[in-house]
Amino acid sequence: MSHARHVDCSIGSDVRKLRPLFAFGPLLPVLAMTHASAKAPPDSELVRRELLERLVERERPSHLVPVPLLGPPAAPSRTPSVLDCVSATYDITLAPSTGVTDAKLELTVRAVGKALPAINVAFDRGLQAGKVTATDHAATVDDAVYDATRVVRIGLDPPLAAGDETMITMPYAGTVACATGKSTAVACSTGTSFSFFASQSIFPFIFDPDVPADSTFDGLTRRIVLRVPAESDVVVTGQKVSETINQGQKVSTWSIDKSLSRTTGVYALVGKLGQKVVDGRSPTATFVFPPPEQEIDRDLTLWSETALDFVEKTSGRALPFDRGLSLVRLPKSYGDPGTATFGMTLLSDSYSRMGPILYEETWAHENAHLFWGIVVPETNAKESRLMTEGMATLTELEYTYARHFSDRDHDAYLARRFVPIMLDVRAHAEVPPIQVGPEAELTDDFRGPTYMLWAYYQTAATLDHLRVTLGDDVFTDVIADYRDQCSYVGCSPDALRDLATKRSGKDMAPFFARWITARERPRVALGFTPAGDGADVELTQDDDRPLTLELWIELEDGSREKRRVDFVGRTAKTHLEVPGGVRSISASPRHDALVDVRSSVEGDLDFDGETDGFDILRCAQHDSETYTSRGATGLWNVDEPFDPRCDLDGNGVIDDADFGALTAQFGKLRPR
Amino acid sequence: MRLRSLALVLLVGCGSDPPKGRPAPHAKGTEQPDASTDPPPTVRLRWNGDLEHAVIDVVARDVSAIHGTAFRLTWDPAKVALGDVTAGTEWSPQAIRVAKEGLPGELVVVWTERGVGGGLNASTEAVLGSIAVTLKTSEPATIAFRPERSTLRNMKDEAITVEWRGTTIP
Repeated sequence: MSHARHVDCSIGSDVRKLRPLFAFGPLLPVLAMTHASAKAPPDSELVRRELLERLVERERPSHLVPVPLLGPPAAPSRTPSVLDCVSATYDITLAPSTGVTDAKLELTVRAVGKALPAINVAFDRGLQAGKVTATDHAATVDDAVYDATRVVRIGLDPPLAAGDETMITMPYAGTVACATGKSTAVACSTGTSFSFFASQSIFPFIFDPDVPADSTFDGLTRRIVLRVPAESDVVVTGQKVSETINQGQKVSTWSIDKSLSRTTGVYALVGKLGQKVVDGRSPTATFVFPPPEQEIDRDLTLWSETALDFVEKTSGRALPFDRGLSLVRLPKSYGDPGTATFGMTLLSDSYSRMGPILYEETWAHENAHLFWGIVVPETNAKESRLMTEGMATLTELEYTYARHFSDRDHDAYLARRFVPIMLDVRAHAEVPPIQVGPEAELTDDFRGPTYMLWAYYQTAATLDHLRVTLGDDVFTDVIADYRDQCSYVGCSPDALRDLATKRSGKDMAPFFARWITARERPRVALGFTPAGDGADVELTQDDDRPLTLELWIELEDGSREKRRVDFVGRTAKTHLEVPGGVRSISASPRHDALVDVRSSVEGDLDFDGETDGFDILRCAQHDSETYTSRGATGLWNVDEPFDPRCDLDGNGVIDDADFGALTAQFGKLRPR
Repeated sequence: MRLRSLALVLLVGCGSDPPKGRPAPHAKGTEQPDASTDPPPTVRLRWNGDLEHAVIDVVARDVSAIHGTAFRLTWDPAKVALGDVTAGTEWSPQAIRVAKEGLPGELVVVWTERGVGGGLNASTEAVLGSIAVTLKTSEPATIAFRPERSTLRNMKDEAITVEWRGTTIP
């Protein structure tokens, strides 16, 4: 019997029901789920596209115009820009049903390190800039239309000297075109109900024409004044400061009073909006949707309560949006996958086709970004996504455990979720290390599965491996320290390394050298000898760098002890005292993603130091199973039965060769 | 491994007057009535043969849907020698059948189907396999399971709770 396993992308599949837990060995119980309806084709283009577009900072190059139309060609690099945005005020009068816009941007910028000769702003091509002024500088304006966007280059004469600031005032007006252009997503949609205006529509996107693809964190505060017809509902990114109605016009003021990356989106939803208050939240969280209300809106509202509570619990602090949160369901027709921004989460309802459990999990992921990405940004999005996408992905996995699988073994659940995730990563040698050095160039074609594997998969697995290495308590403290140190300022993985070293009292540089700045999966051999009050454990590895493993000691009475052990050297020995006879000693399966731990006895899959029928039974029911990596789809798989330990030759198939290898080692027993 | 075969007698349930020397073997297929009612699922060793061809059957009883088993037998190698190990005929041709005397006096065996499905039905009784034995002395000799290293698995790969019953040769 042979069946290729792949992501379940069933249209309308319902994964609420669980099959009973399958226990196939002491280390890795399997979670099983039923899928009630037919499966969509696994290579569905729509699904693939959606899977690839889960971004928190709207990294959509086709939309964010890394095209220096009005400046010299710039090679893709991570050279930081000299542009430092300080603050922006948008005063926008908008007719949402027609898109007629009359606006003004007041932008304060500073030059860092070198003179700043110009800035670019991009907005809907239906709008045009008026007379631009800059404090203490003459401003020159050139513009061109690229795709759905108008790019305006504002030259400063003289250039803004390093360390100096100027306030640029740019009026802009017209009727938004809301063209799709080359992107599959819209930046705006007019109408009387749920009209939608994102970055680069009525909210200009600001960038440095000399370094258009700059990804270094540059945060600014914002104030948004939006003037719409009095009968319109209005929800905007930020915290609502005031709302008044005067002479048929509703004027609302929104504040982003913390440093928010200039590449992070700003959104306005205007018109007739569906709104539901999320229970149990203070300050208020409001779920916003295009009317009429659907069943999924009731689900998302319910999920919001648990998701937000969970995000706060795991982040260790309440969300700092003390005037409220806006949580938005985007219709799939917009082609926008969603994102998180200041006090706002948005997610396309196209994710509903993943089934309710994964849709809810994705909702949790995006809400996790309210912390990990918005409150706590990273220094450079092209250097690392460890503490943004990595944390959000780890949070979503934990959320699904808490919501749906809390009666299962937690370690086994996580280890099982990471099997397809890391098989996908290992199938792609081109995935760079988590922290990309300055010499690496992430070109524009670093998209698609490679990006997912780099930004989401490898990071989440490594964070969990770090957590097992440090222990839950220390890890929690490290995350809290990182959150406190890095809120609104941007940090790199170096900061995490230093904080982990400080909290743990151990030098974490070797860990980061293996798994953050490199892509290693060291092979280690683990063996033990029973010794009176416990066991003598020996670990062998290919180098002498320190390695910490959480060891699982299964006792003869069926109980389990866990010990975190530091190993130093190519061969390291330690004695473990335990209250009973030792049956087996293995490493936590949560290390498997990043460490290839094997018994020192070949063929001993259950780590008891012997090869017998238990090793073969572990694999017997997995005969003919395969794992075929299909890009980056492992995250969408909560039911992967493939056991890599049974695939002894690593060819992705559990077959005769693997059973032959096992039986060839059969019957090696420990001397009595 | 071919060894001389000698007669064996199951200690349990031997009700006839023992002759001088070694008790007479039970005839094939017979068993003594059990005093208890509704016996729990068991895997037992049962002699099946005669003085010339002594074979121990590994018999499962009151267990349905057996997907696989792994077990160990121990004995005193000074008194007993084990010979050929043969899986029962009810296993499918694809089943894994492996046995090895891993240490003197300790046999390791695994009989299991591969993949999902298949297996044996021992709702009443099923012979999982057989082991040829040779007695080296006239002293009592015990062949026992190591329950902590033995397991019976169902179609869901769950361990089935069974009583492992060895045998003592008087």
